[in-house]
Amino acid sequence: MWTIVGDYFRNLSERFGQGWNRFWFAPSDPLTLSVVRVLAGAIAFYTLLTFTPDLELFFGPDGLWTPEAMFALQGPGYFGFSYLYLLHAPGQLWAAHLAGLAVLGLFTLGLFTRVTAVLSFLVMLSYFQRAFFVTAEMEPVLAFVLLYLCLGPSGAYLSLDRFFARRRLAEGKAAAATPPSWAATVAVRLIQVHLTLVYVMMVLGQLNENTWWDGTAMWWLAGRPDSALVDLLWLHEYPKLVNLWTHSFVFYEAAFAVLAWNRLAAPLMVALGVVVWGLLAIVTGLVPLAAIMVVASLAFIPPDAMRAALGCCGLGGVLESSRG
Amino acid sequence: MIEPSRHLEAAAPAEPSLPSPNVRTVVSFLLFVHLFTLAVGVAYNEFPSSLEQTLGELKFFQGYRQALFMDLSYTYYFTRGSDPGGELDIDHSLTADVKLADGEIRPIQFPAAGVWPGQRFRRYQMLGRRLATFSSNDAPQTATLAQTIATSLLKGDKAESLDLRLQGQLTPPAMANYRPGGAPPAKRDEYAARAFWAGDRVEVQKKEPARDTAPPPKDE
Repeated sequence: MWTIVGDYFRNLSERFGQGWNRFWFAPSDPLTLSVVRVLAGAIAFYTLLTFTPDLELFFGPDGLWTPEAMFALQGPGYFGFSYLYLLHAPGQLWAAHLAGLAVLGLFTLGLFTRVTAVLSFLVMLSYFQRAFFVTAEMEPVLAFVLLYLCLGPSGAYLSLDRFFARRRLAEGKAAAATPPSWAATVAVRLIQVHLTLVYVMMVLGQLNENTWWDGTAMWWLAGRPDSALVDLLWLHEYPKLVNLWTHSFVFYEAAFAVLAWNRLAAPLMVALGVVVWGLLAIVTGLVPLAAIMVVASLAFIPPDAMRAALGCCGLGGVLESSRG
Repeated sequence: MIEPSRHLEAAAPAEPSLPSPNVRTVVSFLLFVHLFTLAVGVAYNEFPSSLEQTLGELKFFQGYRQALFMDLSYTYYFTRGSDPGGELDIDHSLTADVKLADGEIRPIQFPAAGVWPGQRFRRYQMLGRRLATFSSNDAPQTATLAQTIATSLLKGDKAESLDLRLQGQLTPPAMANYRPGGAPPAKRDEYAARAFWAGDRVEVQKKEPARDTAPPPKDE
């Protein structure tokens, strides 16, 4: 009896260990991570750019978010790093802002990627922490995507790093192909797990509310005229369409958390995500949130499928040259 | 001269291999700590049990989540619709009538009409929503946030005083009751205050909403 129990737990332990190692550490092609880097970098650059007109109003010495105000509002013991707390004069702020934009630009283009990935995360984190009280749904998602991009070789493809490596290769000074990387796997897996958690919590939150059950949630969203990109109040004539839209959104979120893990279904879920989030962006005006949710979901696309998709988009040539 | 076996080894493409056991152990430990902290944060920020509350308030876990901007539950409802008590999730606007030194009144609105791009509009909306959330809960941050806003505006315009007013744009009627061309959705006052310089600091006095009923008679 005890032998059977012992064997069971030994077998369980071995299988779990093998599965854990395969899930987190099996080396993978960093192409997917590189694509996420380009798109998330562009969203981060845009987000930082939108701080430009309000830079002094938000962070200036007489601005809204002075260090004293932030410490008082966040309460004692809050731990949030922002280098913007160290800058006091408007000149310093502007210099740091331009430097931040440059860092994000280099990260998006893939130059010195291992360094600019970390710096990009620190730049965005500093703005989010300092402007904590005007952040909403998008910023936490962008923050975790940028964090995980620091962990893997996100500049392996579609990057100036690779372009210059290719030139060195032509001169016989560098290695040829991009090797599979376990760090790429860890980074992609973390994005996948974290994004799944976001979807699960969104579904649980919405199912805790009447409007998502009775199918009218999209009506209430459309009824916020200051937020919606277009006037959708004509939807009152089509209540069943509103119901369908509402239920479809919840169903998609629930399905994504499960089906995105299936290699065959993942591309379909990402493609549907473009439609689902695109429509939500129209009704809520949350375009950056929709964009980062779709970009993060790309982490579920296997590298070979990503390569095929980029080939279809006419980017196969760029990819081949960057493979070395 | 290369030995046959070494030759084969050199010619074969490098086999993708797992990292060393030591590296796997360290990384696995860090992954576990990270994911556990994340899970605790999600549970802690959404209807926590007593255990989740205790775990969520542990200094290390909380500091880690706050430092990485992950101290939230990710429950994006998107609407509280017509749920009782859920009226906070509506469009807010904050207006300030700033009285300048020469007596002129300069109106300021957040978000200003036509502010572009949408991400800036959203931030100003969040400013109003935060104030509305604090105010509806009678949180001590209400006065702090109002004072922060007022101080910035008064300093920016070198003004004497201002009147703050936060309004919520109510949603239209329920879908079944909506009639196009009807009265536009009403606005509701969420918070109002007067701010002025008192020495070198700004004082904020909250304006109580006007009563629509007479106070009860005093007992003789």
